[in-house]
Amino acid sequence: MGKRTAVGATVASAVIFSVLLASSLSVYCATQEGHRLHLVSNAADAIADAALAIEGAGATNALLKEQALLGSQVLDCGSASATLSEEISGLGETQTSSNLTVVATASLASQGPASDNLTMLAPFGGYVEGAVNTALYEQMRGATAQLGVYFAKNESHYVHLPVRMVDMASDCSLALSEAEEAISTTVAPECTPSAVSSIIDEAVGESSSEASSSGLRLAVYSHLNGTAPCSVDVTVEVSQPSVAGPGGNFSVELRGEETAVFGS
Amino acid sequence: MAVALLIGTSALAGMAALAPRQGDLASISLETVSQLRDTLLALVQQKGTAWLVQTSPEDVCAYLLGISNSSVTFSGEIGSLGCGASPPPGVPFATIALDLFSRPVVLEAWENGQL
Repeated sequence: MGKRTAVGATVASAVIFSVLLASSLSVYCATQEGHRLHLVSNAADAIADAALAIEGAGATNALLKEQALLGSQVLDCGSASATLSEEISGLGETQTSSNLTVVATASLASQGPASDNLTMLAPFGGYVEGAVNTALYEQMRGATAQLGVYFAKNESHYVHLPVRMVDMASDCSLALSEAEEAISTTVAPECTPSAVSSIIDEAVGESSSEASSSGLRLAVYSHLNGTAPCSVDVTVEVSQPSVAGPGGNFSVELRGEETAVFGS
Repeated sequence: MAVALLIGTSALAGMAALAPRQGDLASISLETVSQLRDTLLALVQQKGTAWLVQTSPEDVCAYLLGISNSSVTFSGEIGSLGCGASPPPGVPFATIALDLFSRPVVLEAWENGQL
């Protein structure tokens, strides 16, 4: 009887402990799977965060390059927009980190949303009418292959530099045409530098004052080219000093040139 | 009796070995890193990339040290200037790297008292 009880107790304990062990094993497996999913989720989160940082850095770099371009050259009044469009198209870049690649392409934008969801780009995010606006198209690809995490995202962002390019080009063209008109409609002037300069200054005086009151600088220079007939080279320079860019303050200058003949 | 004892002991040892404590700790650590990374991103979004470019490395460092508190410590490498301590060994930390045109920036954060 005692032996039978002992065997029964042993079998019962074996069954009970086996059930407990199996339960523990299933809990363990579930926990391991939970942990793996946590790892996967964290890896996906990490790539998305890294992509956001690289996106912001890429957009900022494009703006910094634009600022360097604009600050280091004098653009032609008539072709400023076309020149900028070509130069901005070459500002794309590829950034890579250990598990992520971001390819950014840039283009001069003629329209876009007023705000951008990348708040780290403030105050240069979004499209602003009349400014130098850039559309950035960013393609992001990443992976943490050992966890089976793959990341792909395409986004467009709009950024701007507060350069009053439209106003500057317009003021420049207007002053140039005013000077040209004054010269061509003045018959038989005194063909001396001071007389010519006086005629041109009077013609562009109002445009110059308006530009100045709106924060731009407009200057007109003339150079006698010949006296018979009296012809003159006219140069108009429009600049925007102290533009607050992402890399600090800079200035932008446009220049237009024309040769005109008096009384023509 | 001996067999029953053996089965019981083996099962208890097995259950102890299968305890999910290690996995839980690792998950907590991942959660911490994720939160710290969010904190760093929020910092960059709040201050802006232009601020990181224009502000002197010394001032950025002073800011990072200034916002460090009893809960979270911030450190960084702004251009060639490193500031703040490195995370203590074994402490989970988060890093955000911004490869800016004129200045590479690396920001780090970790929770104090996490070991």
